[in-house]
Formats: sequence, structure tokens, C-alpha cells
Amino acid sequence: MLAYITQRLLSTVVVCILIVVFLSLLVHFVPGDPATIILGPRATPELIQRVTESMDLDKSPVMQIVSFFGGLLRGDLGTDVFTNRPIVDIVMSVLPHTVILALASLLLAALVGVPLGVLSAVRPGSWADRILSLVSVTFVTIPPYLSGLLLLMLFSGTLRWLPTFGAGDPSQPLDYLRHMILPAVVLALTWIGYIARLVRGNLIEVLSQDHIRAARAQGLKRRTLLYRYALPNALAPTVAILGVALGGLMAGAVFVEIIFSRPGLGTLITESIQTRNYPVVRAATLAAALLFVLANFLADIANAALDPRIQLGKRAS
Amino acid sequence: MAQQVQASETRRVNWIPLADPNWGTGGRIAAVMVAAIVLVAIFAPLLAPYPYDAQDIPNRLQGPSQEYLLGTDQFGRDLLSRVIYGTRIALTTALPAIGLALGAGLVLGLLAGYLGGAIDTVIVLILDTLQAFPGVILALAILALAGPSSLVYVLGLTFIPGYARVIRAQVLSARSQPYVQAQRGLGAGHLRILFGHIFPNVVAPVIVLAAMDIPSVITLEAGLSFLGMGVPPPSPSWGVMLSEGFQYMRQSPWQIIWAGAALVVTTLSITLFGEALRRVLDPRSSNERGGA
Repeated sequence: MLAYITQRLLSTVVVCILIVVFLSLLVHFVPGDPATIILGPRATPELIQRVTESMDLDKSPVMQIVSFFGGLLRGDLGTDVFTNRPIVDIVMSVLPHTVILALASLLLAALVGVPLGVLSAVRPGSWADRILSLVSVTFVTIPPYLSGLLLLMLFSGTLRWLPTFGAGDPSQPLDYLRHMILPAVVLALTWIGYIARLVRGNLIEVLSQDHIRAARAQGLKRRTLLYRYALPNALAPTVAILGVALGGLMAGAVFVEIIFSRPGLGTLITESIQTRNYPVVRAATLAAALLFVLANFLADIANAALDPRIQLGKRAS
Repeated sequence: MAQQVQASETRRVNWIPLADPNWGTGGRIAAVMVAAIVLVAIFAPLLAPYPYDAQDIPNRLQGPSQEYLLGTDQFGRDLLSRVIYGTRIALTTALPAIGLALGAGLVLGLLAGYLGGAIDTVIVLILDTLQAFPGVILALAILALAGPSSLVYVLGLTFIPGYARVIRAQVLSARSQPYVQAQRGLGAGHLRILFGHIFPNVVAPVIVLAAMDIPSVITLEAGLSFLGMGVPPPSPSWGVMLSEGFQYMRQSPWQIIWAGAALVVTTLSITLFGEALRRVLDPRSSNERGGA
């Protein structure tokens, strides 16, 4: 297990370094003077000067990578040229909102998706299975911005049970939670569909394996068989996609935050694009990517702990 | 000899047999829907009752009526015409983007899988890095610099790693197959082995994957357009319509409803069509119907 963790940790660190290199150099992939491209119509000689300095654009690309990386390690990604606030502070002030929202949606998606998948897998081909399959395909197909708009219309107009604007007051947990219900449901819908389909597929496969059939032949109760023997095996691959799911949820959060006017990484990125504040866009993108890589690392470790075959390099599938 | 030729021709015709029971009722309905969507996109100017940008300010934000079957938007533009032209935008952005991703993925996957060694390591690291970003966020960061005119390239870029990985894995397994080793023994060159023998065997599963990815590209394009970073207005991208509908939500819900319906019907039809296609082309997977 330790060897597996070390190996995964090593490749995670390499990918993190490559993310930093990629984001340092991205601005050079677009032809033209980087500072002018970044500022667009806002480019005044003074602003060009400040952006050039804050992003070290006057130095060589290698030095830009080194200074961006050094800044990241020191927790200093420079000062925002428009507000003079440290960029790290700007990102860290909104990051918790996005992370809490994504985790709440993930929990919701697992709590609803797993039972739906089990229900389908117990009687494959039945009417319940067909209806649930169609429902999960539909959930996967409806993008978060559309379900967000539809729920927003419903709850800001006809039904007024739940707040549809802002994140609420973080010092009042109940208020914060009430503001999170609609955004979390919207984000979770897609992943309810994915998880239900995944659990269904895995469980059907596990239920057809010899050890389950042998246990059934010995007269083991259906319920015991399902929950004690089959389901844990079928859930291991689901744990592996939870890391991927967190990335998807952070991407979906961009839309949900805009629609429900919540503070977060998505709102920060889109607002910073509109004000042509690329250093902030870059820092927020970096935060999202690092979180995503970390989530994938943790999910892989959890999956390997559940399924020892993975540590030996033999994938379960 | 003549019989052999005939047999191979029959097989080619039956590559996607329409009578195959694996299509299922749902798959057939989806196939008809996809055909209809493509026809709507091609014949949009003939089908749309008005130009997509024709304004009728006195009749703005109306609900469905005889004059405007689906209602009008904030400039009094006909929503039906805009939804119809939107089909064209969705397909003409998604198809080139998928083509680009497929092409680049093929090159990278073939190179990495066939050559192996340092080239393989470098390519896999590049793919890992691209996949380390949540898709929409990577697209936004690049569009912030390169501007909306690079939309198709950015959409393509986010889908390259998926193809490159699948193709690389296929090449790796094909490389050790007896038919490839036999060719090598007969003295065939790398290019001949790669394009004459490995390529035809890896391309079929990737085509199915591409069909399944079209809905994701359409959804991503509409999402970026919704955020104002994709197709610029007044082009009637469904994402632009959703964004404009969002601004005028309190006055009229119709723009969101129709653009949303068009988006869901299109992506759902293509998804179900892709799944049916996979069942037909690979009947072994048919027992996992609707499964992951």
C-alpha cells in the first residue's frame, strides 16, 4: 500500500508542477504582446507596465515559471493591479464557498444515486429499471445551467419556499444551509444520473459472478447477499469516480454560482474575465486544478484501499 | 473469386444493419430524431419563418401566438426561427471541434502507443496536465486570452486527452497481436504497420466514442456561450438564448423553455443514438443495456 501511495503521490506532484508550467506559459501561446492581450481595450501604458511587472512578463519564460512557482510555494501570487489586494487573499476568500457547495452536492448525489442504481440492478429490464434508466440518462443530459435556470424560475416566481439569491450568512449555519439547497440539488442532478448508472452496471456484473451464485445456492438470504456481499464490491469503482466527480462539480459550480448569484471560484473567474483581470483568472484556475488533482489522488488511494487488486497493478475491470 | 467479392460487399453493407434487433425501439426513435435534427440544421433558412435577427420591437417578449409560434425575445425576434438556426450553430461548432479532437487524439495516441519510450512518457504527461483542469475552467482560462473566435479550437482541445488515451491503449494491445508481429516479420515498415494495419483496427471504437461525445461538446459550447465566452450575440446559439432569457426571466420564460428544450432533445437524441450504435456495432455489450 505504501509503495502505491508513494507512486501516486509522485505522479500527483509531477502533474501539479506541470499545471504551474502550463499556466505560466499559457499567455505566450496567443500571438502578440501578452500584457496588451490580457488588458484588451483597457490597455493604458500604466496598466501594461503594472501587469508586465506583476506577471514578470519582462523576464524570460523560464524565469516566469520559476517566479510563479516560487510565489505559489510562498503563498504569494502577487497583488491585484486593480484593487491592490493580494491575489491569494481574493481567491481564498471565495474558495470555501465553492468547495462546500461541491462537497454538499457530492454527498447528495451519492445518497440518491446509489439507492437508485441498486433499485435498477436488482431487477434489470423491469419497468422500474427502464424508467430509472431513462431518468438517469435525462439527469446526465440536462446541463447544470439549464436545470439551474428552471429551478430558479420555479422558486423565484411560483414557489417561494427557498432563497434563490446569494450564499446567505456564513455565521448563521441554518441560513447558509437554506441558501445552499437549490444550488446543491442542481449540481447533484447530473451526478445522481452518473452514479446510478455506474452502480447499476457494476452491481449487475457482481451479481452474476460465481461467488454470489454459490452463496445464493447455499440459501443465503437475498438481502444479506445484496448488502453484505455484492454491494461493497460494486461500490469500489464508484469511489474511484468521486474524484472525477469533484472536478465536474467544480466546473458545474461556475454556472450555478452565476445563476444563484453565489460568491465562489466560478463567479470570480467570470467576473475577472469580464474586467480582463487575467492574473486573478490564472490564480483561480490554478486553485481549481490543484483541488481537482488532490481529489483524484485521495479517491485513488481510497479505491486502492477498498480493492487490493489495484495496488498490484491489476485493474478491477 | 466473384463470390468472395460479393461476400465482402455484403458485409460492408451490413456494417450498420438497420434491421439489427439491438437497435431497440428507443434506438430507432433516436436515429430518426438525429436525422431530423441534421435536416433542420441543413435546411434552417427554408424552415425558419423569419430571419433569426429580424426585430419586431412592439411585439417583444410575447408568448406563443399565431404570428410567432413559440413567441418572441427581448427584441421581438421570432424564437422558433432562432431555435432552428441554433441547431445549425450547435452542429457546426460541435462537429469541427470533435473532428479536431479526434485528429489530434489519433496522432498523439498512435505516436505514444506505437513508439513508446520517452515520447510516450512526454505525451502521457501532457494529457495528464490537460485533464487536471475541470473542463469548463480550462476553456474559460484559454478563452479569456484568445477570445471567443478560438471557440472551436478550445472545445477541441478539452476533448483531445480522451481520444488520445483510448487510441494509445488500443495501439498498445494491437502492437503485440500476431497479425502485427507477422507483418513485422515480413519486413513491413513502421508507417505501413501503423496506417495499414493498426489504424483500421483502432478507428472503429473511436468513431463510436466520437458520436457519444457530440452531446458533451454541444453542452459545453452552449455553457460557454451562456457565460458570454462562446458564440457572440446576435448569433442564436442556444447558450446565448438561455443567457438572454435569464436576463428577461421575470417578463417572459419562453426563451429559456424553448432553447432548453432544443438543447435537451438534441443531446438526449444523440446520446441514445450513440448508445444504440454501440450495441449494434459491439453486440457483446448489449447485456449492459443502459449500463455505465
